[in-house]
Order: sequence, then structure tokens, then C-alpha cells
Amino acid sequence: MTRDDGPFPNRASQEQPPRLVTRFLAWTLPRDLRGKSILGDLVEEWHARPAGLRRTAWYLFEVAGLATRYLFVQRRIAGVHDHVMLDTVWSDVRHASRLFWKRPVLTFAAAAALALGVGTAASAFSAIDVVLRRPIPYPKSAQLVSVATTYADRGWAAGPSSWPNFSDWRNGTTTLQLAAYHHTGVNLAGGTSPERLNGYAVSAGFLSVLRMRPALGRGFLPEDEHPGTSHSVILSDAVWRRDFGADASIVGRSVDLDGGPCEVVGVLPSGFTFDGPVDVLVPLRQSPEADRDLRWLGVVGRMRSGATMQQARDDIEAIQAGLAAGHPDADHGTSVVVRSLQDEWFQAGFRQGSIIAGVAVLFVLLIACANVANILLARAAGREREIALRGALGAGRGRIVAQLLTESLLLALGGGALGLLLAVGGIRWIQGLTAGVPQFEQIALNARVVGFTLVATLGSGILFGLAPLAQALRTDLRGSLSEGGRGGGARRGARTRRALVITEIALTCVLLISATLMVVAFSALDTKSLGFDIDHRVTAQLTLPSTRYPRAADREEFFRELDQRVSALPGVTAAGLTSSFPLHGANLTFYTIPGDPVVPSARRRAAVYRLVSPGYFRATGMQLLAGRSFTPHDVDGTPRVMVVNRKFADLHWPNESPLGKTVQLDSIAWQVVGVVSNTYDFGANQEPPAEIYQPIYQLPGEAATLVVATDQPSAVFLPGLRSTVRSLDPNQPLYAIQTVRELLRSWLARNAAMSQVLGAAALLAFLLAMVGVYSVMAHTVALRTREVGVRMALGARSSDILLLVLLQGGAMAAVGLGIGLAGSLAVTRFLKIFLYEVSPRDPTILFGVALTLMLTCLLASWIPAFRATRVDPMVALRAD
Amino acid sequence: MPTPVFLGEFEQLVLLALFQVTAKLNGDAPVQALRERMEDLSGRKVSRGALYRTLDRLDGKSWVVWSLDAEDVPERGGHPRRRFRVTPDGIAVLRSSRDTLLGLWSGLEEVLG
Repeated sequence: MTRDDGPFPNRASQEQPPRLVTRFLAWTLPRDLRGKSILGDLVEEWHARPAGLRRTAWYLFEVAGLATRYLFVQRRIAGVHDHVMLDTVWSDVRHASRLFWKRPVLTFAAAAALALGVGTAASAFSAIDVVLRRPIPYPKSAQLVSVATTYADRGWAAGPSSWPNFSDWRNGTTTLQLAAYHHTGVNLAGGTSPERLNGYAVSAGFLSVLRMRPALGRGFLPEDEHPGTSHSVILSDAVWRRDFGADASIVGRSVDLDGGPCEVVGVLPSGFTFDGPVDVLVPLRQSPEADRDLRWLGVVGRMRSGATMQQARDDIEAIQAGLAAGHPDADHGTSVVVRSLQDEWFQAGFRQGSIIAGVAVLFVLLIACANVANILLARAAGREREIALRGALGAGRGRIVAQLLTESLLLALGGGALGLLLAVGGIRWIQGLTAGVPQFEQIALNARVVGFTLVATLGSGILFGLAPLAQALRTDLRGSLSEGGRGGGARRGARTRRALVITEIALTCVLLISATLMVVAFSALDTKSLGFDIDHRVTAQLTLPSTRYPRAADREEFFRELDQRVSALPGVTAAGLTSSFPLHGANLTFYTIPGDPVVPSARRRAAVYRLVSPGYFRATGMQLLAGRSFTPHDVDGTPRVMVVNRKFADLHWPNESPLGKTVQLDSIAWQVVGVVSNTYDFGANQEPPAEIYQPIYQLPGEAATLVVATDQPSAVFLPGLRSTVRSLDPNQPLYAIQTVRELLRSWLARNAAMSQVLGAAALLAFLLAMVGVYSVMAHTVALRTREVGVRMALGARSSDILLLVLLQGGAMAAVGLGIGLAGSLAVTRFLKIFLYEVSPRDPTILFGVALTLMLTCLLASWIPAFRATRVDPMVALRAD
Repeated sequence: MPTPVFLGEFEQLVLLALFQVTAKLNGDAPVQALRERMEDLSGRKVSRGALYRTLDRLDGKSWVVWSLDAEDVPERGGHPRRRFRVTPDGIAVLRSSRDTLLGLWSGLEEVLG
């Protein structure tokens, strides 16, 4: 390793105390050096303590103690001393607890509503926090950059780079320390069963760019890059433990990798990842004469201390400009783009998705707050006398405010604690949804989430406490005491409550419309045919190591035998091999059609190509539109034949039959013998590409994906498949075994996660809002019991009363929906990147949602209205 | 005759512990060291908030003064560190408090043992 290796980072000591909590404390402390030094003392002690939940609990406790003291000292009501204030607070807390205890149902309803809101918000925060903070698990990660090639002629915004270019950058740069990598896999034999390990082929200095030191042994040295040297490998901590029993003397030992001996030179630190899990690192072994136009490498760099991003950009761009001039054949029209690794790994879609999810859960939290405020208002209406009495007995406004705020905060803390419990489940759910998304493995219930929950809880407490507070402060002492608690205050409260419910309906409407759009778009993606069959199809990959299958004939024999034996397995209706399955990605090949004008190499035509076996089209359910498919006789030595897809045929021979035409690939002529249907290789929301299929037996490569159509469940079918491969070669692992449906699901994971999160948020919002509507209508009707009695006594029919209440509920819903629909039109355009085959202004969805909400609101109003009509007028008239 | 000054028990504990720590360190004392010493002397937890508030109060009466550390310690998140010492005024108050207490104790040896 090079000498600039920093120490392996101790993550525990790097973790900062929950920032929101610290900010809150800073807000309560004096704004001068005294306050800052208190923060410093606390942070210093935080770092001195062992990491873990216990430390977080300690921190929260200390902050609570300091904040309480300073909050009252800094902003105390004039003339009241610390201890008097604390006594008062304590007595307020006890008074509030007694009040809540006396009405357990109401208290529980309020706490539960808040718990739903806070729990949802905390769960979502755990994910949003990861996206916004964009942590990259290496020391000083802000210095890390990715360097990519742009190629205007081929439409590459940021593509891979070639080995010679990388090599020239590495030697020429003064601002960056660079390393190249390429995703790869190796077969490890010798353990309990042959195993496929994923990882990267990396250049020397890869680990030192990341500032990661191997736990054992060393990283790769420049001499490991030479093709002539012996093979070496660095194992991950997990592989070292699982397959080698954490053998401390592993370094220097030889293991069987891809059928040949390979020396273990190091073991990675535990938990090492690079944009996903890493099992092994092997050296990139490249000769300097490699093709400059063969672009396949990712490049990562670290800015040397003192260098800025702009300097790094200028530096590499200047080198590349020199290369473009010196190698016009390969590099004409190319340039480079240097971006921070954080931007590269957390792309805009992540950010946009999480902001949308964040707004959605904020809505849920607001709706929950509105509900709690409603409940408190209903209670406050009944408490006007108490408050008036306290005022009359000499309690100042400050005391009454303090009392009411204490009640709100106490309720908030109860709800927040419940919410944190819900968040534990919510975070598990999100972890499940985002499983396999590289950067999201860091989602967890950590100090930051707890801190956020606390702030959200206190914020909600203050927010929903405002409404009853405002009402209490308007209380007219004499009026309230004399009118028996049924006067103007109650009516004012009802107005506020109606406004709150209208807000709830509006927010719910926006959420429901957004969620419905997402779900419709997602199901369109899910159900649209991709051009191949999704159900009852299994794919599995294998890679034949060149050490054991050096000749094409060996590989051809293996593939042919595999194809035959798998096709003969019970329950298999068709089986085929391909060099890559559509959703796994695609390889491009340059081609020319005879008669085309000669163009510079950069402007050559490119198409997706796949090597496939005769059974592939049938196994994937693709249709043969013209000509023939491949046969077992299309092997090396027979005429070169290819099948193209409809898109390719339409592109070049729109009005004639493509059969018999020739296509040149690397100056070899291939004859078109068949045309097959198109496939949507890059997902249903992208155009199907033009494709070329070649017989895999004519050009057997090392890697292949097996596609099997079977009507048997995986559990029954897979053991047979595995033993078939083992019977052919006991050292050959089969990996990435997935049904096509599973593959599609992971392909759609981001959209699925988004639509599920929005759907869950919308459902919660809907429930909370309907509870809100119901409670307001029930309360309004209860307050008007006398009026109902009078009306009925004067001859009103039940239907008149029903209509009266329903109209009131309907009016409230109509206003809320109007605001909500207008809001939706403004908001849903931000969803556009997630919407597929559905317009953000789809009238069916807009009005469908509005109608559903209206009907539900009417139902929620009908229940109390119906109850009111059953009241005996005499009883109603006597009601207080 | 100067107005007699009464020191609270906690204030007294702070001043005496501060004295001990500054003597031991041969320099001004950071709050953490002071707090640990107070916990040793009194045998119970010392509330962080109470300690800071008391120090501020003693500072307001000019019985203690504080200075800032020159260098920035990364573990403190960029925040400064205060170090305290007792002022001559503070020493005078301690003395006067001790005299008051000793006066109250004197003659009671037989009763209190």
C-alpha cells in the first residue's frame, strides 16, 4: 500500500451527536461563548463514550436537563426563579396528567393519531436522511470523485473509460489520485460447494484512493497489474470467515479461483462495500497496448489535499484534450466529466423520490396534528368555564398559556413515544422495500432518527396546541362563567375545527391523487408486456473460467450438453441460453450494412446483440415473425447466420424482406435468416432497441444465462437444475438464480417503493381525515342537540334534519376538495418522472378521487346526523 | 464593616472543588474535571445544568473568572472550551464563609461531639 493510507476509520468516534437535538439545545443556551462552550463540553463527552443506543439515551437525557434549565432561565417570565418555575412546571404536568387520565378514550385517540403521524414521519426520515446526507463509507469522502468519459458522437453523457486513457490520466494528473475498477465475478472452488463471488477487478491503489486499509495483508501493487504476474486476490471479511474459518494465516495461501491457483494477498475490512456488497477484489491485469476505444472501466479518484473540484476537472480535461488530438481514431469527440462520488451514487431520482416521500409524510403528520388539535378543541370548548374560573381567581395569561402548552406537550410526548414504537416497524418495512438498493443498507433506527422524532413530536405538540391556546386566550371571563359553557366560545371553536377539517380534506385529496397516479403508473409498468414472458420462467447465470474451458469448442460442448440436459428435466417446456438476459443489461456491437457510406469509426451504427441457443426464443416466449430460428447445426464452421428483431428489420429494410440480407460485423458478413418480435430490454418505459441475435454455438463466450420455461415451482425445479450443472462440472457454480418475475420486480423496485410509500401515506391520511370529519360532525351535531329538538318539536321531519347535517358536511368536503384539487394540479407535476402512461392531470383519477372523498365525507356526516334524528325531542330540549 | 456574604452549600462545593482542581492542574480548570472532583467530594451526581448556572452566577459576582483555550479540539465539534479559576474576591468570600461557619460551630463541640 502507498504511504498516504489514512488509519482505518473508527466509525464510532466519527458519528456526531444527533444534530437536530444539538440544534435544539443550542437554541435554548445563551448565544455567546458560554453557550458554545457548554455545547463543546457535551460533544466532547459524547465522543469519549462508547457508541450505541445507550450513548444516545445519555445525550438526550443531558440535553433535556440542560434545555429545561436554560429554557426557563433564558426566557423565564420576569421575577420567577428557577426552582419556582420548575415547581410550577411539575404541578402543570401533574394537573395535565390527571385531566388526560379522566378521559382515557379521548386521550388515547389523540395520542394514537399523533403516533401514526410521528411514526410515519420518523420511518420516512430514516430513509430521507440517508439520501440527503449521502454518506459514503470512506474517510474524507467529500474528496472522492468519479471520472467518466463523455462521447457526444455516441450520445454518452457519462460513460466508461478505456484502460489506456485511464493509464494516461493516472500518469498525467497532478490533482487526483486515480484508480480504475470493473464489476466482475469469479468462481471459487474448494469450499462446501462451488461458489460465485461478486466483486471488482481494480487497479493498483484502489483501496488507497478510498483510504481503506486491508484488515490483513496488503492492497494491489503496480506489479499486480501486469498480465504476466501470478494471480492474486483480496477476499472480503465475510468470505474469509465463511469459507476459510477466519484463518489468520490466510495471506500467502493459494486458493482455487476460476479453475486456477490464486494467491490471497489480503482481507478487506469488515463491512467494506463499494456501491453494493463486495466479495472479492482481483487486480485489473491490462497491457498498455489495450484498445483505446474499448471503454469499460469505471474510474474513481481522490482529490489531493488543497486541490478543488474545478482544478481536478481542468486537469483531467486538459489531459483528455491532448489524447483526443493524439488519438483521433478512438478519442475524437470525447471529453471527461468529473463529479463528486456522492452525486454519482445518489442520483437525482433518489433525491426527488425522497423529497416526494418526505412531503407526503409531512402531510400525514399535519393531518394527524389537525386531528389532535380538533380533539383538544372539542375538549377546550368544554373547559371554557374552568379556564375562565382560573382567570377570575387571578391566574395570569402566562400561567394559562403554560398550563395549556404543558398539556399539549405532554400529549405530544406520549404520542411521540408510541410513534417511535411504530417507527421501529415502519423502518423494518422500508428496509424490506429497499433491500438490495446499494446505498440504502444504512437505513436504521439511529440517534438521528430518534432526535428527529423528538423534534417532530415537540413541534407537533406546539402546533396542535396553538388552536386551543388561541381559543382560551379569547375566552371572555364573564360570558363564559354566566352562560354555562355553551356560548360563543364553543361556536368559535367549531369554526376553527371546521377550518382544520377542511385542511385535512384538502391535504388528503392531494395525497390520494398523487398516490393513485403512482399506483396506476406502476401497474401499467408491471402489466405491460415487455416482449417476453414473465411467468413460469427461471433464469440462472454461469461463467466458464477460461483456465478450465480455454477453447471455444470446450465451451460449445458444455453449453450444448447443458441445454439438452436441462430441456430433458421434468416439467421443463423449453430451455435456452443467452449471453445476457434483457433485464440484466445489454452489449452493443458495431455493424455496417453493405452499401452504407463509409463513416468515421465514432459514427458507426451500433445495435444490441445477444448470443443465443436454438431454444432461447421459445424459452422466453418471443415470436418468430419470419424465416427460421437457429438450429443445433448452426455451429462454428457452418455459414454465419443471424436473426434480427423487427425494429432492426424495419430500420434497414422497411419495405422488403430482410431474409437473405447480410450485415457486416467486424468485417465478417452474417446472413439474416429470421426475424423475431421486439423486446423492451430497458424497461417498458423505454423504446425497444434494435437487436441482433447470433448463435451461441458459433461464438461460445464464457458467460451465459440459462432461461428455462417450467410449470413447476422453483423449490421443486431448482435442485434438479443444480444437480444437472454439477453432473456436468462439479466445480461450476450457478448463480443469480431468479424467476423472471423476481427480476422484473427488482428492476421496478424504485417505482414500486415510491408507489408503496405514497400509497401507505395516502391510506393513513385518508383514515385520519375521515376520523376528523366524523368527530367534527359528531361534535357539531351534539352541540346542536337542542336546536334539533326544537326543530323536530316544531314539525321538522327526520329527513330535513338529515339533509341539514349532510349539507353542512358536504359543504365542508366541497371546500376541502376544491382546495385539494387545485393543490394536486400544482403538486403532481413533480411526480412526472415516476409517471408512466398516465398524465398527472388524468381527469378520471382526479374526479374519481374527489368523488370517493366526497362520498366518504357524507357517510362520516350521515352517522351523527342519523343519530340526531333518533333523539327524543323532549330529551333534546332539556339538554344543557 | 463589609456586608456579610452567605454562600450556598452548592456554591461552596463549587468554589472549593475548583480550588482543588486548579491547584492540582496548576492552571485553570475545565468544567468536566471540576464536575468529576465535585462528584468525588460529595459522593453524588452533580447536575450539569445546576453546575453551569452556578458558575455563571459566581462569574456574575466576580468570584470566579474564565478563560478560553487557544487551540481548537476537533472532538468538541469546533466549540471553545472554558477554564475557570477562583478570583481573589472568591477567596475572600470563602474565607468569610468559613469564619461564619466556624463561629457558628464554636462552643458546640460538647453537644455535637
